[in-house]
Amino acid sequence: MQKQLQTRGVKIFAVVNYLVMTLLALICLLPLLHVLAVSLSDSASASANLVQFWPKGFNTASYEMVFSNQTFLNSFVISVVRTLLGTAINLAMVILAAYPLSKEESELKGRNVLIWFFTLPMLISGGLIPTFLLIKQLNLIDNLWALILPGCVPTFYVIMMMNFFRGISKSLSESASIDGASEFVIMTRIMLPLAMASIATITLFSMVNHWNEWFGGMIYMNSSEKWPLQTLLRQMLKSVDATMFSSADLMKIKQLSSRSFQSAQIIFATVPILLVYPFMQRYFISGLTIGSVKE
Amino acid sequence: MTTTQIRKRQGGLRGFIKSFHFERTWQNYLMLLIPGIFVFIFSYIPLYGLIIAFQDYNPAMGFWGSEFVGLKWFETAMSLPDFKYIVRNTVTIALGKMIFTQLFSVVFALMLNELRGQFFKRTVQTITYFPHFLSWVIIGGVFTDMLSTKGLINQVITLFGARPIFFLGSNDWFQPTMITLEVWKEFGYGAIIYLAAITSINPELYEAATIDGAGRLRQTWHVTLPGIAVTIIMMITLALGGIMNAGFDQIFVMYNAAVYATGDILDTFIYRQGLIDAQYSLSTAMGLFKSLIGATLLIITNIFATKKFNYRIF
Repeated sequence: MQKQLQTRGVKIFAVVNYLVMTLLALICLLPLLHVLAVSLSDSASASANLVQFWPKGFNTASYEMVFSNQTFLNSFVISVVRTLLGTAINLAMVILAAYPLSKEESELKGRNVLIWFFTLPMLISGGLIPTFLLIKQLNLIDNLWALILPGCVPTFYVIMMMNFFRGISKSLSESASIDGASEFVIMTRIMLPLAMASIATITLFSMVNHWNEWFGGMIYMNSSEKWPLQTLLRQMLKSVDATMFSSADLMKIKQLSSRSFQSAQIIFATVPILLVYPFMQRYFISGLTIGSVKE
Repeated sequence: MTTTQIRKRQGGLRGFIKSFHFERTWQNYLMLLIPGIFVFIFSYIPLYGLIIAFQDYNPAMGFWGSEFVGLKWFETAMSLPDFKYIVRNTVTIALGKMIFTQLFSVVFALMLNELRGQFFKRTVQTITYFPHFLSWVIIGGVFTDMLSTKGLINQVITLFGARPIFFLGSNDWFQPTMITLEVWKEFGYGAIIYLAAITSINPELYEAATIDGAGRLRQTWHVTLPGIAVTIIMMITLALGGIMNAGFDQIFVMYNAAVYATGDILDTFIYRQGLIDAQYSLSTAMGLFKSLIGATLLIITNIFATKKFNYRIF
């Protein structure tokens, strides 16, 4: 009797659990499906809020608009260039900083001071205005480098990479050193091939960060032709929200025609993340447990 | 006497240089030099630029020529009528986000752990982790639309006969909405660390509990939860270090002048003061104020985490 009751309880729990989990997954998925449905609907249905999760008056006009919109394509190219270049530089900087810092103070004098030099900015930074004034003084306003250089040494990933290097057996680099290999050779020939998993993690996370970053584009790029995609999107979407709180019909009319267009842009900006997402899943744990409890 | 002293010092210097073993290690220092220069330029020079918080900064005069005014801007900031609200909004939103995200992540991880079908489990994980990787610009775009008075969510609400809610335009609703959206974005990803902690629990404990007649619920309560308690407390401790960060990106993308009373946070205020109104010194002073409190909290929480949980960054 007791046992039967328990198994019944377990069964009920299992069913409830499946239902709750399905519901949670749907809650995460449906908003994106809604945007997708709006983007594929005709603009009349979209603007009349008739679309839920399935397109009404299915058509791809808004995507055609996206692909023929010069401003949008231009921003897309800037985002791609920025992501590729920025990630490559991030990666190079992380490796260059992490390898020497992974050594002990006894092997590399000054290491303990240098690690503070690299990590102190994590604790306290100059903040918005001093950084902005610096970029201005360096004449980097309206220059793509303003989006890449200020954050080109991501401390977080340096620490992660450093911890990884520290986990590699010392005997490997020692024997290479006895054979006369220089530090540079040890790093490129021995350490890097062993660190491919960490490098992949940092590459993917760095790519997503660059793709998603919009604030730098907004404050450092005066001319809209220099905006990366996310900055462009934010400026476009921001001009919409005025219509939602005021009763200005004029603005509303302006918005009407563009709702499915905007949805198409949101989807378009999401697709690259969707593309790297399957690869990232393998590295979630290592990306997340940076600096967590060690044995 | 003096010559021996000099020779001694030279020898000391030479000895000091020698202790670096440059013939072996110079390449290491060369490697560090490249990122080091960038960190110096883009992190340490702005740190020096904080000096304008104590100046009447005049762009024409620069960092060196502007007049020193002491703590004037800090006093100005404190005496602003909005200052109290802004700090309160910042802490409320940040705390709310932290508590609810952690809570949902823990419960989600526990429930996910009970799922037996691997395919279903992986599908749920794949879907719920995804929003974490989207920018607030995208999510803001998705939800400003859905949360509008005629949007999808209000369509559901009116379906039940209730009146539509101004989620982003009402001071009663703005903070809960921000916290809810943060939970929506992060609960799945936040569960990863707890799932990892759950898998490291010794399976013998479950066997022992089963022998003692504990059902699944009691096992969760008496084995799983205590097993991840340390991780939970550690995550909360570390998150407390960010109590001054209410999430600039989200608020900035979603707020508007109608909800400044509850939605304006330190970061958005600093942004508007600095880059819209060009109040460079005031903005920097407020940034420094925020940064100092944040750094102090971060140090305290990290020391606590190090002592209690053997947490180490490096």
